[in-house]
Amino acid sequence: MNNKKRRFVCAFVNIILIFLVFILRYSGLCTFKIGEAVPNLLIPLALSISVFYSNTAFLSAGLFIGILMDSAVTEASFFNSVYFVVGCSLCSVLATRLLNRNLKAAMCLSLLMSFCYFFLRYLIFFAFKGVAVNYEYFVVYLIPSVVYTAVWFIPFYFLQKKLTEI
Amino acid sequence: MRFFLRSKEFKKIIAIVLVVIAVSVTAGVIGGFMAPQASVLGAVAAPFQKLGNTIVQSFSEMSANFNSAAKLNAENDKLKTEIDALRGQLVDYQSALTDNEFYKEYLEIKDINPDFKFCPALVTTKDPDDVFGGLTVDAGSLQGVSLFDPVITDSGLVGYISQVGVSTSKVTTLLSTSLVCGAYDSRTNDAGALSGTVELAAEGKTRFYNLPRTCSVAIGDIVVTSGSGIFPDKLIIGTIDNISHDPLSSSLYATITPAVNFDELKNVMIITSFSGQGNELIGEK
Repeated sequence: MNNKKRRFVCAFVNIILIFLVFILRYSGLCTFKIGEAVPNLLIPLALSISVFYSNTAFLSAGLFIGILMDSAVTEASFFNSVYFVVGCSLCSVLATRLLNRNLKAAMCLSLLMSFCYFFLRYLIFFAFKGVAVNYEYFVVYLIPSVVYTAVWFIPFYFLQKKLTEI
Repeated sequence: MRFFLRSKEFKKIIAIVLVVIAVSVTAGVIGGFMAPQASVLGAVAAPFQKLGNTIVQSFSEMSANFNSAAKLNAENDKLKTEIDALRGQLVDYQSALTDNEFYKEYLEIKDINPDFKFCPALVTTKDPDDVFGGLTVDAGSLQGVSLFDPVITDSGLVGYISQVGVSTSKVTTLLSTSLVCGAYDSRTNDAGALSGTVELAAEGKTRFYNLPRTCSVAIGDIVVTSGSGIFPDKLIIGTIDNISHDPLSSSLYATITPAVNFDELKNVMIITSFSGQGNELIGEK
């Protein structure tokens, strides 16, 4: 397969994947919830794109996913756009310039990106607003959700790896 | 790394990031409005979200039909064709009946409150990250929806419109800590304030507080809106299922189970206009 065709296939598959994961998540069809832990599959998906593709691809994917999420969430409609654009840019730079693209390094990034997402949401929407939250929020929801989200990076990692090897 | 930081590509990325942040933060600071890019993409994504919901409903209807068909086939082999035809008619009939019931309930509300103007809406997305059960509906400024419009079902109050887009809007539910409104016990007329907490929201409940110690509210009483702020009066909020002493003051507070089941919300009505409509929440907690 020539380079142009391969890029088109990768972009097409990723757009379909983003839409599919988005609809699964926000229509309530399948949130993969275990107990109170709700994984955000769009984070590992965005990260896998950032790790494997060029600067324009990760920026577009981050922007697209962020805006798509902002159109569906009930909180402030800028958090996801900003987070995903900045997060994907940083992760891509870290993955390509400082770390290897191996699974171990990428998993660390996944854990970091998931943690930053959930923790920033807590800071912006609860802590800074003065909304009281007890320890159960962290123990039952936040930490399990971070770990569960990070684990979902593994299938996306191998999927993107296969895609780039076409 | 240094080369990358000095490259044109990096400068372009920084420029795009800054533009997105500027537009989004401006929309966030102004408040009440969805960021333009989220609003536009929300309008584009709405049909797909509806498709997702339709698939969910179709799956549940399909499985229900499959089960009933299997039973009927075992019992009534000879009448299979006839039953199939009748079932087709029954589905149409039930669908019409459900629609009728749905609109009849609203008609009753409309009869009691002739000043209400309704805008029907379908729940397109439910935010799984929002502990307060926030949702998005497929009606926006094009349908006449505006900020702080109350959202109800035939069972009772759902919440209010917290962000308005072109063809979609976001609803903050009555489980949220952002919603503060006046309410009273419909049996005893004891008044208090209503607002959620994170802990109660996880159980699908909300809090009716600032009740005087001398009040006579009881478990099972129905709590309704008092008409101050953004909600019209006498909208059913829910029933009291627990009463406790507030540790921070000398008053009492009650835990309320909302009349609306937020997990099963599909169709809602937005009250776009009513007499005495306020345009801001009572206050911040």
